[in-house]
Amino acid sequence: MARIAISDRLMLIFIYTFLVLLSFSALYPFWNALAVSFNLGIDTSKGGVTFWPREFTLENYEIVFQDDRLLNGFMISVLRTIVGTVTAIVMTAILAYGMSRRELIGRNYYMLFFVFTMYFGGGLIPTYLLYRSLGLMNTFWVFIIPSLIGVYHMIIFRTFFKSLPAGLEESAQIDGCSNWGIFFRIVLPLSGPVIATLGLFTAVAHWNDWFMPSIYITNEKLLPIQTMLRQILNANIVTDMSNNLDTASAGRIQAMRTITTKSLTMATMMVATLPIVMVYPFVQKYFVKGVLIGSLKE
Amino acid sequence: MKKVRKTSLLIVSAILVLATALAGCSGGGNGKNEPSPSPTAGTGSNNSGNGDAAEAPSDIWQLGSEPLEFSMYGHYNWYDVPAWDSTVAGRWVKENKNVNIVPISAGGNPDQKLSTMIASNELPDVIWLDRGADVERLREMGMLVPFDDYIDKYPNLKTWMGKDLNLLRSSDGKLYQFPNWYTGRPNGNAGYVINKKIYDELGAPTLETTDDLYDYLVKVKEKYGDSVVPFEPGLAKDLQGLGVLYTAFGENTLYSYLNEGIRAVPQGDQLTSLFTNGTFREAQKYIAKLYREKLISQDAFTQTADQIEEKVMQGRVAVFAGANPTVSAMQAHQEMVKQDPDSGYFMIWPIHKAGLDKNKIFPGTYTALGWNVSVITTNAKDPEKIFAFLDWYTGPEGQSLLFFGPEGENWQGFDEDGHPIFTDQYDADEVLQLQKDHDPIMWNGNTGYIDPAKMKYESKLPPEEQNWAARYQSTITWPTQANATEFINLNPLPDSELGIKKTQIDEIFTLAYAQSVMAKSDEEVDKIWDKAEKDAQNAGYSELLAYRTEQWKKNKEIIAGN
Repeated sequence: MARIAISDRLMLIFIYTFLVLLSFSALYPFWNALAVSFNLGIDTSKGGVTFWPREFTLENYEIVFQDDRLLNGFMISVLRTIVGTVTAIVMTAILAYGMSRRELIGRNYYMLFFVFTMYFGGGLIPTYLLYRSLGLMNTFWVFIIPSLIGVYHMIIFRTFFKSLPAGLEESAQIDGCSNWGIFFRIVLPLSGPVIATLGLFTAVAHWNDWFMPSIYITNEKLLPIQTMLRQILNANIVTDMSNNLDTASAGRIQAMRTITTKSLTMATMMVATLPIVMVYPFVQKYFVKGVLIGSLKE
Repeated sequence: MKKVRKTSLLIVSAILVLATALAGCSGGGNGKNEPSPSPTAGTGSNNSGNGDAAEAPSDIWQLGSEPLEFSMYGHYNWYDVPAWDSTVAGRWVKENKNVNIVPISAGGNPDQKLSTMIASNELPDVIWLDRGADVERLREMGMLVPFDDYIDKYPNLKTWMGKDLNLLRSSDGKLYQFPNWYTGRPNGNAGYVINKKIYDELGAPTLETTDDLYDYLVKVKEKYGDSVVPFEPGLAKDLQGLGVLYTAFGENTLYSYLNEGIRAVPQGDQLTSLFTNGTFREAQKYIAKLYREKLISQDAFTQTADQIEEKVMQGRVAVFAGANPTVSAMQAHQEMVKQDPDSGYFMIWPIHKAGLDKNKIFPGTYTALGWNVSVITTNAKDPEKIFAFLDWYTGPEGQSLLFFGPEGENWQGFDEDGHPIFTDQYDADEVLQLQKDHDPIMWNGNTGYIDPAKMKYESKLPPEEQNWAARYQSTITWPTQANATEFINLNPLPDSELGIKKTQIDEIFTLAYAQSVMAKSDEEVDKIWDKAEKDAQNAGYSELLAYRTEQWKKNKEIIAGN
C-alpha cells in the first residue's frame, strides 16, 4: 500500500473541499429552483425556501402541463431540436465530406467563402428581409433551414474526415461502391464521436434559442418554450417604474405584471431545462467509444 | 497553372464585388411580397368603409354588421396579446360582434421586433404602447392613422374623455393615440398601510401627524427590536415610500415632483428648483432622521421586490408606504387573516405635518390620460372599423363585458348613470377572476366609467365583507390622489442637447437622494443638497426648468381652453 505523505494528504483534503464547495455553489441555485417549483406559490412569497419545499405541491407542474401554450411550446421545442439537429448534422457532414476530397476543383475558394461568413454577417435587418423574401416568416422552417450548415462544425467534420485513412475509401471504391455509399456506409458510422459531440452542441443551441422565434414568428402556436419562459421571467422582474408620472399608472402596470408566482416561474424553467440536461448522460458513452474498430492497421 | 490561378482569382473578386454591390443597392424597399399573416376578411363590397371626411353621419359603420379581423401587438417585453378566444370576453365578442383579433407576439424582444417590422413595412394593424418617443417615431414616418375623422362618428371616447382628449394630440395637431385608463376622476392606490396586530398591541395610538408617526415607529422599535421593520418604504431606489412621506410636509405637495419627468416644484407660474425647495429639504431631514435611528429598513435602497413582498407577507412590517402598496398588502392580509383573524393590514388617512390641513395632503397622483395608448397603423385595411371597435370597447358595453362578464349573467341592463345593474346571481369571486383574466386585454380602460360601477356593488356590502382593496380605495386612496395631468410631456427628446443634460441632472439627483437619506445630521442634508444644486446648475438645470415651465404652461392652456 502506497503511503501518502501527510502534506499530500492535507493537500488532497483541501482540494476536495474546495471542489465540493465550488460545485455546491454552482449547483445550489438550480437545486433551489427545483425546491421552489415544488412549493406552494403563496408560501414561496413568504420567503425562506432553501433546500426542501416547505409545502410540497404538484400544482405548479399541473398548471404548466395543463396550459396549452406552454405545452405547445414544449412540443415545438422538442420537434425543432430533433428535426433541426438531425438535418443539420447530415447536411453539414455531406458538405464537409465533399470539402475533404482532394479532387474537388476550387476547394480553396469555397473554403474562403465559408470562412468569410464566419467573420462577417449582414446584421438583423438584412437577415430579416432575406428570410422574408424566402417565405420563411412565421413558419416552422425558419428554425431549420437557416441553421442547416454551420461553418465551424463543417470544419471540424472536414478535419476528421481528412484524418481517416485513404485506404478505407480506396478499398471500397475498388469493390465498386459509389460516393454516396462510401459516405453513408463507411465514413459516417466511423464518425460516431464527432457526430455525438457536434450533435449535442447543435441540439443545445436549438433548444436554447429564444431570440430568433421572437423576431420571425408572430403566430403564438409556433413559439418555443424558451421564448415564453423569457416573457414570463420579464413579467416578474420589476423594473424601474419611476419613469411613470403618476402613481396610478404605476399601480396599473404592477397589477398586470405580478400574475405569475415565483413557484410557477420556477416550474416553467424546470420544464424548459431538464430535458436537455437529461440528454447529456446518454450521449456521453459515444464520446468514449473507440474509433476505427477492426479497420486497416496503418 | 499561374494563369488559371490568376483568372480564377479575378472571377472570385468580381463575384464578391458584385455581391456587395447588389446587397447595398437593393435596399429595404421590397414591400411587394406580402406573406402578411392576417388576411382581413372585412374587405367585402361596401365603399363607405373607408370613411373619408365630409361624409354624412349616415355612413357610421355598425359593429357586428360585418366580420372584422385585425392584428394586435403589445410593445412590451413582459406582455403578449393572448389568443382572442382564450378569454370569456374574447369569445363573446367573436360570436356576437364578429370581431377576431390576431395576436402578434413580441417574444420578450419588443425593440428589435418593432425595428424589423418597420424595416419590412409589415406593421401590425394596432400597436399598444407607451406614449412618447416611440409614438412620435412612428408618426414622423407617416405610419399612423389619425382619428380626427372618426371621433365624432363613434362618440364614446369623446364623451368619456371630454376636453382632455386635446392633450393627446401630436405636434401636428392631429389625434393618433387612443388612451388606456383615462379618467376624469381620481384613482390610484398610494398611501400608508398599517399592520393591525402591531398597532393593537401598542395601544392603537393616533397616527395623524409626522410626530405621531415618529413616536409610533420608536415604540415599535423598542418593543420588537430587529424582528419587525418599523417603516418599510418599498423599493426606495424608485422613491416609493419615501416619496409618499415627502407629500406629508406640504399642502398640495405632489409625489410626482420627485419623478424624473418633473424634478421641480411649481411656485406661482414657474417651475423652480427641487433641490433648494424648503419643503423638500424638510422632508429629507425627517427621512434622514428616521434612517439614522434605524426606523427605516437599512437596506431600503438595495432590496428587491421579492424581499419586500416576503416581509409584508410575514407581517414583519409595522408601516408600509408606497405608490402601490395595496397589491401586496391585500394578498398578505388575506393570508394572515386565515391564521389569525385579528391580524392583517389596514390603511390610514395620509400622514401630514402638524398644522397642515389634512385634506390637502396627496400621497399619490393620477393623470387624465391614463397609462398608455393604442395606435392604428397605415397597414390596417379598415382603420375606421378598427376605431369603431376600440370605441365600443371603451364604452359602457365593452367595459361592463370586461369587468363583469357577458350581459345576462352577473348584470342585466344599465341604470340611469349608464352603469350595469347587478343581478341576484352576481358572483363576487367569479367577477374577481374574470377581471384578472381580462387584465391582458384591457386596452382601452375607461376608469371614469368603471370605478363608480365597481363601487356601486361594493358599497352595498358592510365594510368587513368588502373587497379589501376596493374598501380602502373608496374611503382613503381615491380621495387623496391629486390630478397631475398638467405635468405630462415635460421631457425633452432624449437625443437632444437638453435631453442629455437632463440625464446628467437625473444622475446627480439620484446620487444626492441616496446620500441625503443616509446623512448623519440635518446640516449634512443641507450640505448635500446645496452641492447637488450647484452641480445641477452647472449641468444646465435652469435651462431644463425653463423648458419645462414653458411646456407646463402650454398644457394648462390646452386643459383650460379648447
